[in-house]
Amino acid sequence: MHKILEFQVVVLAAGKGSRMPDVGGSVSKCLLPVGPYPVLWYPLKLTNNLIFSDVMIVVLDEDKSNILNALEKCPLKIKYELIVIPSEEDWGTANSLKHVSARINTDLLVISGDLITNINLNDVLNLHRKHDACVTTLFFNNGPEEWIELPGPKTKSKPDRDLVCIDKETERLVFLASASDFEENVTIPRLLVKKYDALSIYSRLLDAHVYVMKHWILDYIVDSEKFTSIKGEVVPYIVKKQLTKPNNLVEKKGTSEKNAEINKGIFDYAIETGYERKIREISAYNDHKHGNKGVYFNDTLRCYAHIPSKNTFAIRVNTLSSFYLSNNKVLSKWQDLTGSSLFERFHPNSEVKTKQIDDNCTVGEKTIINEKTSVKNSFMGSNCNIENKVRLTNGILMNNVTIKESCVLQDCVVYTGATVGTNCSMQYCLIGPHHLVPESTKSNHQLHAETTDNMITLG
Amino acid sequence: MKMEMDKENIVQAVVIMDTFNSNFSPLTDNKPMGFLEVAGVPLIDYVLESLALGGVGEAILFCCQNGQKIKEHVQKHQDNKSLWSLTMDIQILMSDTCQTMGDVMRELDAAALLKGYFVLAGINSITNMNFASLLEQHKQTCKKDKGTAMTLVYKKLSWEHPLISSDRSTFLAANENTKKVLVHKRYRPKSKEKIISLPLDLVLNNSEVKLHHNLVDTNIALCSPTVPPLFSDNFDFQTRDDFIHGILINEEILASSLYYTLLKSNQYAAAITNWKTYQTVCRDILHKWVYPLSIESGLYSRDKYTLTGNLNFVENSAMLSRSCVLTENTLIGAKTQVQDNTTVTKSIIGKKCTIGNNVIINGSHIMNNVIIKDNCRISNSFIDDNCVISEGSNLHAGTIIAENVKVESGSDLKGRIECSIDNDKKLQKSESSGTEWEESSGSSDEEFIGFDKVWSDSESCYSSISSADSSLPDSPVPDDTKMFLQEVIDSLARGYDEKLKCDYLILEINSSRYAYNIQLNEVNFFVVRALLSMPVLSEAKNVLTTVKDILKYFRPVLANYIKSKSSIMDCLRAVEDTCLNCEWLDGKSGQILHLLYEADVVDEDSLVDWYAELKENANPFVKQPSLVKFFEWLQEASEESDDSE
Repeated sequence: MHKILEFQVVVLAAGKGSRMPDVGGSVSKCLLPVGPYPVLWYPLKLTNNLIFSDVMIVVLDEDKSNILNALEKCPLKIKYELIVIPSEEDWGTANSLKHVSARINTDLLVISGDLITNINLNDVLNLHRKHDACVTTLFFNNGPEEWIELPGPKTKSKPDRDLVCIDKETERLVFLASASDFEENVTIPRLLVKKYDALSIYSRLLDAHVYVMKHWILDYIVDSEKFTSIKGEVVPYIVKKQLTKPNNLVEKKGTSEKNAEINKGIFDYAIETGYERKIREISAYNDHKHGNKGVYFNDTLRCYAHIPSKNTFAIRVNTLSSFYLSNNKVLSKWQDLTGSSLFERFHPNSEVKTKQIDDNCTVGEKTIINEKTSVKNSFMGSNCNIENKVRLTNGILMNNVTIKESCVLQDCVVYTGATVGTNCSMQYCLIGPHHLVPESTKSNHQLHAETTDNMITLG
Repeated sequence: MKMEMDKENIVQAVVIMDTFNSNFSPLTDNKPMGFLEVAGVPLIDYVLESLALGGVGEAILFCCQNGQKIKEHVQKHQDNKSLWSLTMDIQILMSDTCQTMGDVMRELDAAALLKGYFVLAGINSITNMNFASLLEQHKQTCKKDKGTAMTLVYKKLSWEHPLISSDRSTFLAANENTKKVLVHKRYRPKSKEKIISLPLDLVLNNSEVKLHHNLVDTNIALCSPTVPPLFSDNFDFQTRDDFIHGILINEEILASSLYYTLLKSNQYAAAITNWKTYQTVCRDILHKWVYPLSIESGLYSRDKYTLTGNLNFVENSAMLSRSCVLTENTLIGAKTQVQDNTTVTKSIIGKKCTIGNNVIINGSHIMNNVIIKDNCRISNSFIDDNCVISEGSNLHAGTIIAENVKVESGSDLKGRIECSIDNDKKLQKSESSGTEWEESSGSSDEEFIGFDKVWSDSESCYSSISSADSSLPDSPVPDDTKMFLQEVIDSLARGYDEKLKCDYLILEINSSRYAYNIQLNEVNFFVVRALLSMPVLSEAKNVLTTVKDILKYFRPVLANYIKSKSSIMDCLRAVEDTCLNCEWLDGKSGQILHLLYEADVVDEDSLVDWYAELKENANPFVKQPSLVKFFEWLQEASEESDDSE
């Protein structure tokens, strides 16, 4: 049966995790485990709720096989298709969109591959549909990120913050910038404050990196060639252009075809083909209460931002803290996130021989947990081997991890293929991929990894 | 007769009976602002009634002039048992020495009449808000934040609304959750500024900052007991805006903070600050937006008006001819006669007026006892009490006729203020700056009715006139710069008297400069101007020797500011300005320039350039004989030196 698609979904999962600590070796961000499944599973699960179920996933070349393997093991009803982009070149999100543009012939829903949330995406889509917007974005207003003690060396990195200006009455997104763009003063066009009644400038929103876009925006991105990042360039540009009035089209007719091609501005793409404008003129609806301007102030470009209520769960797994925090929370929010309860906390092919394992743990395929071990609040990937007399608290073990006898691990993250020698005692440590921690190591807040600079082994 | 009220919980209000500006001059020159009639009722009646309706139990009226008249007016109402007098006590304070709103607050602090939280309102505020509940809300805020000094009351409207667009607009940034004011800024009407800048820290430290620019300042504030002492402690707080800025800048030091509240959409509030807002508020009252305040406010017995459709209100004792037409939005007061074939549109006509035959009145306000003779055309004008407009006159485009004026027959007045001197019916025609009314085109909103230009572009209510007595009459400098100039003059005069070191004076000038946010080129200009306006000069017998002395003494100061070519031009412009404005330098411009030239402050090239510029602009200043003489001399001198080379 031929279906008329309203939106096509693109999940961007080619991020390199530049905000994660360097643990040596490559770790694909979208495959980091959150609870029993990789991060990427959550945004895909999110699109399950939508009526359109064809999803394109943009991934890095090198990750493709791993991702395919990982997703096969996850319960997913949707059809997805992996689209690879070269790993070596540092492509931005806008480049990725350009890459898939040929396959897209409807409006577009872009979701970041590291988003874990329980929001219903239809709320965002409805806002987009309601106002016939050109871009609709999603922000969460959940207050500051909870502080928890993180594994690894202590750092004092301050995340860059977005400054987002939204008119609360109309939900128009009118200003978007990064705090680092300004030094002492933030400058805002005065016109904005005159135009909108209920303008709020937010500095602590979490950008979900969910974008609903008109198809013409994709054309514009492809043709203009000046954009590399959606969040950093495309959206701020369009948000800014809302204030501009389109040039008079009549003037342009005089110039030759060639010139017009070169000078094509954003307004040449934003052309309404149907009766939208006429309908708006006839309709009695107006989006703002005061003043005598027409609906939407007669703007051609309209950007909107949806802010769900405060108790929505949302996290973007792009830093160590959010990765750690998401694991901390995921089981308690499981029902909310997936709409079903988690039946198989222990994979049927796993061997759990100990009885001292609590309900807040998950165990992956072919993982062996030997006798006399105690496991609390921990997540274990597949093919792990946990030997006798190990005590494991609040840990995250990725795949193929071996923990030797009599180890005590508290609040540690152990990356793929690592081995922790006998009788180690570690607290708040990061153990890099394929790293071997020597016997009887004692450490606290350390990184054990084969980093590019030198090998750090600490006693 | 009065109900025994709980003395503890009585709501106190302070009404400042003056606006400390001349926006309604000459009408308010001889009578209090409170007697200005808005839609046929004096302002004071609206204000007292709105206070009583809003739950205020005790009102303190503070009069800085004409206190006696107000006292009589209030007494008359109390004797007649006006509605408000049943629930509200009135105290009238008078002080002739208060020049600003700040003075009033200091006086109140000294008088210690305020028992706790109070409402602070101006005589020009028209509102139907509930003061008592707002004050209660303010007290709740105070519980959360002990330092709360004031809650400002605003009304949200659209940007195009005349109440906003024709007044100094307010920009407010506030914390959305607590409603605490973070930034407060006033813009001039029709300001062209395109950018608003906010401190980054402020945005980052508050998770959600609300930005408002579409607010009408109602001139009403809810105050904590700390407000009068704050005024006493800070002598530089002259206006409410000074107070707001002082608090915001020194929040930590003064341990005070400001909050704001927006009125609900069913509540009305506006401040009459200029002719345009006057016009708007009149219309709003006619249209019953301010209910229960209405054209019957302050009347002892009600229901005297008949509404005759199309929002025409006619007092029962008015006499309308059968052939006269009231188109829409009109108000005809008691005992007024309107005769044959006269058309009245969107206008308010007061009591005991006589309007002749074939008169057309449109968008105008006519006060009491006015006689308009036959065949007059009056549009967009204001006519005060007891005027006579003779036959065939044509008043339009914002003409303002003050009390007791007789306009000759057949006159054609456009955008002028007419006022009489000493009742001898002599016309004084003033064409000063304020009267540039706009004619009816161009305004894109609804039909133009009335005065579409603010009276004086600079100030609204509560503004300071403290600098008006400075030595510079009629100079068109805005307030901040005026105050800056005065401070520079003071600094220099003191330095000259006490023989202070010039270095200190430069420091002082620079700090004043930052306090008033003055541009560098303006500083250059004002320093020179200040030097030439020093008080010693006005008393000196030989002005030129004194100037020479002054220049010699302040040579280091001048050297500090007048360095580059552009600063020399600033200096020359200052000389021009001062010579035109100060009588003691009248006709001495050439000599002054000569002195500056000899003191090496200005060089020859700049002088020649400046002179050329003056000529180009056909500046009348160029023709001053002393100047011409000086440049002749300069020309010769340079030729001589050229020859000698």
